[in-house]
Formats: sequence, C-alpha cells, structure tokens
Amino acid sequence: MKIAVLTGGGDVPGLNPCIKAVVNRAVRQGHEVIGVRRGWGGLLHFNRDDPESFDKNFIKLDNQVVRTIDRTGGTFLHTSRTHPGKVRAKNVPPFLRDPDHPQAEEEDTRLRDFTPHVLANLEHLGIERLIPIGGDDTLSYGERLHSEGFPVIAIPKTMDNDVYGTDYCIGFSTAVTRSVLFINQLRTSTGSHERIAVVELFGRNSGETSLISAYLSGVDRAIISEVPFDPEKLAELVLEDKRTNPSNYAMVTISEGAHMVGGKVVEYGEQDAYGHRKLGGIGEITGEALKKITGQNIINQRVGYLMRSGAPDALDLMVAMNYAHLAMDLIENEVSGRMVALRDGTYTHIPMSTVTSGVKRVDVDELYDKKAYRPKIRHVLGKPMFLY
Amino acid sequence: MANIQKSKGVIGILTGGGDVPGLNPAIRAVTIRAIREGYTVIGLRRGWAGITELVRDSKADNSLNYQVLTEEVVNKAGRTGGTFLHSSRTRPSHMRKDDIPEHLRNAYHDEINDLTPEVIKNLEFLGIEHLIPIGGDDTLSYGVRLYQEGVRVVAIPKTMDNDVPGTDYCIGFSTCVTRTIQMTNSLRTSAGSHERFLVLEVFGRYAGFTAMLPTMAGAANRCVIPEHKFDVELLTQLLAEDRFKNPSRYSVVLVSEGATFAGGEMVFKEAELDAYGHAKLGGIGDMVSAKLKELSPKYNNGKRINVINQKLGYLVRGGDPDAIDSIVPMAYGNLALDLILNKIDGRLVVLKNGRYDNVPITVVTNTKKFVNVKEFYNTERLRPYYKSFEMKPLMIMTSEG
Repeated sequence: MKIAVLTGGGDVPGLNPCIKAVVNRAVRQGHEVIGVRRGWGGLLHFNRDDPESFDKNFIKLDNQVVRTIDRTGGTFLHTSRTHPGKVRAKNVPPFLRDPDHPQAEEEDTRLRDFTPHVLANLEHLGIERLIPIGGDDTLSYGERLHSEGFPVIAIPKTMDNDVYGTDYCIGFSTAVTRSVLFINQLRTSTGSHERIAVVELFGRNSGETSLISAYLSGVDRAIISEVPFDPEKLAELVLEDKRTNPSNYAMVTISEGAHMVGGKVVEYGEQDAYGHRKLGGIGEITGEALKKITGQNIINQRVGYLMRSGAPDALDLMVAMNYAHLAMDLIENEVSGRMVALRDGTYTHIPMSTVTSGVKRVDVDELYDKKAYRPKIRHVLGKPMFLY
Repeated sequence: MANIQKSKGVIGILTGGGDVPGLNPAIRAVTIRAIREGYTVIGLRRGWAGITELVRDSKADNSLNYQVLTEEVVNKAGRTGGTFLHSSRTRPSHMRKDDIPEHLRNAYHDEINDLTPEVIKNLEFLGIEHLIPIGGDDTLSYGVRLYQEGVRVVAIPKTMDNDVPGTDYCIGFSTCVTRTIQMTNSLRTSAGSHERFLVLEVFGRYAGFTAMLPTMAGAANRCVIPEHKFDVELLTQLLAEDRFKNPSRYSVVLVSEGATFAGGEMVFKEAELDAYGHAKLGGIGDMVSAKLKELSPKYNNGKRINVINQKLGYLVRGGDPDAIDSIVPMAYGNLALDLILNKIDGRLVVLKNGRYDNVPITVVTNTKKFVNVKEFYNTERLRPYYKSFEMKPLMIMTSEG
C-alpha cells in the first residue's frame, strides 16, 4: 500500500520523530511512504503533466532518508498554511489558472476550491492512505478529504495544545519545557534590577501554555487568554509579590491571546488561508500599564519562537512515536477517518470530525484562580498526567 | 562593625548597570581573596545607589544599602548569573530632585544635584579604603570621578556588549555570544520548516560585537551592526541568495539593536533618557523584517519570503555564566586584589591583546569602543571578514591593538 504523510501549520519539535516512526513501521510492513512537502501545498502545487513537479512537491521516504531526522525539531518536509479548499486568486498555482485570466489580481479575494485537483493527484500517485500531522486548521482539511471518501488518519500537533478532542498535541511539552527554562533564566536579570518581568508566551487563544508554564516555573502570576484581567488588580498583586520576595522582584506570564477587561485581543498582519491573523503585543502593553500604575521598571520579554525551537524533549519524542504507531495500527486494521488522541491519560482514537466540533480551552473553574490570577491545582487524584 | 577595626582594611565592592552572568563569580573572587589576605569586604548594594542613600547613623537600618560579605554568602551566589548585590543606573553626580534620598532633601534641592560629597563621607563612615566598582563605561565613569576626588578605585569591566574601552574583554560578553549562537541554532528548525528568513535582534547598544562574533562563529549568514549604515536592498538580495543556496531554504541575519538603515536614524524604544543620558534602543529587527518581506519578491521570482522575527533580548544574559565568564571574573577579581596589595589604584583591570593587564581608569571616559569596520566588517557582503587570523587574540576583533 502507498501511504502519504505531511505536516501542516506551525512547526513544533516532534514532527520529525513522528514522520520517522511512521516510515520505519510502514516500510517494515511492506508499505511504501511518500512525504508530501509544505503541508497541503505539495498536493495543491503538483502538476501531473510536468515531469519535474514530483520532486518539487514530494519525497520518497525510506529508512535511510529518515535515519537522522528525529534528532532535530521542526519538520524536514517543510510546512505551510495552505488550504486547498480555500485558495486566494494570487496563490493559485500558474498551471491551474484560468487561461483567460492568467494574471492574478491582488485585490481578487475570491476563494477557490481545488479539492478535485487534490483528489486527482492522490489517485494519480496511487496513494491509498493519508496521514496529515497538524493542528485544527490543517486537520480540518483532512476531514474534508475524508468526507470526500479518501481514507485519512490524522495526528494532532500544536504547541498550544488546543486541538479539540485530544488531551495532548505533539509539541506542547517541549514548548512548556523551553518556557520554564527561559523564565527561570530571566530570574537573574529581573532580580538583579529588582523589576517586574512580563513574559509573553505563544498559545493563540488558549491559555494552557501560560497556565502550565507558570505552574511549573512557580512564577507569581499567570494571565491566560480565557480570563480577561484588570491591570490595576494585577499591579496590586505583583507589587505585593515583589515586596515579599527577598530578592525583590516579581514575574508574570501572559498568553499572547490575553486581553484586559473591556479590551481586545491584540492582532497584527494579514489573514492567512484559514482566516487567522497573528497575535501578540499584549505583554508589552501590560508591561507599560504596570509601569504606569506601580512606577516600577519592567522587563518585557516575548519567548516567542524560542518556545518551539530546538530538539523535542522526552515527552514529545514519546507521544510523537506512539501516535505514529497508533496511526499505523489503524491502517493495519483498515480503519480510517480517525484522529489519534490521548484522552484521560490513555492512547485512543476519535472521529476526525471531532476536531471541528468544538474548541479546546483551559478549564478555568478547575485549574485557575480568577481572583488571584494564578494556577489553582486541587484534586489531583485521578487526573491525567497533564491535569486534563 | 567591631571586627572591621581589626582587619587589614575594608574593601567596598559594587555592581552597576545591566546585569550579566559573571558578576557573582567576580564578587566571589574578590571576597574570598580579600578575606584570605586579611581584609574585610563590604558589598554595596544596587550599584551606586546604596552608597548614595546610606544613612550615617549606627542605629539606622542600612540593610538595603550594604552588607558585609562572607565566604558563605559569596560561595552560594558565586555560580549563578545576575548580581546578588542588585544593580542600578544611579549616577550620584547627576541626581534628579525626585531621586534624592529622604534624609538629604533639605541639603539638595536643585533639579540636578551632585551628591559626591555624601558618597565620600559615606565611604569614610563605612571605613572603606578601597573601592572596586564592576560595571560598564557609565558605571565606571563615576568611578573615575571618585578617583579624581581621591578615592582609591580599582575597576572591573563588564558588559554583554563588550564596549568598555581599554579592554579586549568585558565580563558577560562570552555568555551573551554563547546564548546567541545556541538560540539562533535552535531556531533554525523553525526557519527551515517554513523556508523563511530568520531575523534576530540582539542587544549591543552602539557596538556590533554581539552580532559580529556569533556570525563569525557560523550562527548567521549576515549581520548588520551600528558601525555601518546598511543598505536593506543589498541585505535582501544577499539573504535571498543565501536562502536559495541552502537546501533547507532559509537564511539567517543578526541585527544589532543599534543598527541603522542607510539614510536612517537609530530606533529608540523610549523617549525617556536614563541618568547617563542614554535612551533604550530597540525595534530595528521589526523594521528589517517588514522591509525584507516587502523587498523579497524582487529576488525570489515575484514571490514573497516570510520572516521569523525574534528579539533575543534579555535571554542572552539570562542564566548562569559560561566557562569564559566563570574564568575571567575569577582572574579580574584576583587582578584587582593584586593591585590593592601593591598599593596601586586608579586602574581598570583588563585583557589587552589576549593577556591580563591593567590600564588607567580614565580610559573609560576618554574613548569609545566600536567594531573596526575597515579591518573586520565586509560592507559589501554584510558579514565579518574571514582573514588575517594569525596572532589575533582569542576574541579576534575585540582588541584595540
């Protein structure tokens, strides 16, 4: 059988080991594996009439090709946020353009659906199973292909851990590991200058990275996307934290998607194919507010891309490889249309349609103290490893 | 302070300006050696602030202004980054009205006040005969002032920017380079996965060493530095070429926070000046990123190249010191004690052309230290020259010859 694998959306550590585990297992069982390059981009940009097009968009994977890839983060297949069901005129590959209007117009905002082209490409290449590894956006197009009748097994990844239906997405653990490391490294600067540090973390509209990193690094306060905050209240709390710290400093983590009471989420740049803009900047705004209210100096730092930099930690290796094997187990059992998942601490799989049926957010009542702006961890007995 | 009278003398030590890894090892080295030689060591807290705000009354609580240092205290702190004495940018000769300590408000009420007479009386009150300030050129410039007033001063240079004149090396620079290389390399996976330009803004103020050394060490394809106003069109072209040649389709540029476009001005983040008259730099990385995105289609068959833009910021000086910043502070601390034991003062301990040495402390106010563009920076390729290494000291471009 011919299996294709691809990675879409933001890169995270753990993608490469996942690809490697899929390939080694598949090859051992006599299957062939093709890597699709640049997320869904490879399937959109493949021109069946151009003999050079294959190498630009695909790579045949075997044990040798994947031998060393698991040592690094990111994805060696490259990635993109391409959505073949919603392609803007300017992003349509030249060979798919209307011959009467070959020049895409910048202001043409119509979205075109190239799903028939993608399905024809899959058939042309003899691909029988598809394993997309991605976040909810990438996987939503996987669900589309599934609904068109193509057998798909999805693997969830995001450093934000916000794919609905699974407790865990590849990349989250390394993001937390890095955040804790950098937060603790910032302590010496913050302490030396007796300041208040505001550390902004990626996480989009989920506060999980801020919550768990704050919990594990023991910072004084955590602001999360789910709970709008009052800067006056926060200022009061951190001033007290600073006063009671013998080194006379305080630290706050803040989700990039957080906002003040009555305020808005800070976005910038243009919309991507999935309709999302970039988040970020709330840390700086909060830092300025705190400076104004408290008169204290602030250290502002975005950990940003550094959260997903470097090689995967142990847990992301573990989950990435186990998800790969779970996906191959399903293929072996002729099951498709499923997303592999962790639920209640156990490996399982769920219908792919689950991904788009809800949004995953921090369970605020269970894990967050809305008055004290910090994690509230109680009743651990029976909880899964990551608390939910 | 009963035991102070019995000692050979009292040495005061302080750390001023931005924190760097290596300050605590320097305090540790000074303290341990001094105690062994029979001195008492007083740690003056918060840069020049502690000695300025001291209340000369034996019953007053001066715990925020100084502490007597013991081996136990410095051993515990000696392995960590930052400074356990805390730091500040206080400049006693230029104190704003609002910053005058409560108990001196009657005596000093101008808009800007010189509190040097108080500082000198405070040093006498504590019995401090030798003063070891550890700092960058700003902090040490006030050391020069005190030396000119007759205080015995031996200074130790630190800055992650490595821009103190008179020395090849300032404590903190190596860790900064180490962190920059490490973080740049670990961001390669993200840049490669998305086939983007990686733009990293690094601290460094008006000197480009923090961008030059990591680039030379292979962390980046190109770097732009404050010493040379760069053509962003040329940078885009070079980075597009680098990216095209790289099988993983990405390229990396380090941007000094003080870098400027040809025809542009430095980008300041805050209009407010500190006590030494400096504004906070920063923001050029965002501007370079926007420009690269805008100009890239011209060098990439009409297609835009996206950017991963990250300020390394405070993270380059976070954490514990690396090997060089554990060794040099130890040597500088002992070098300072050697001078004190030989009754020499008014000196800055340094590394000069690769060797430990000392120079007149006044060097810090007389000159400025920058990258020698002519010798070390290729303005056509926007990266260091890779030639003439023979007989260059360890850090290659940081000696003034």
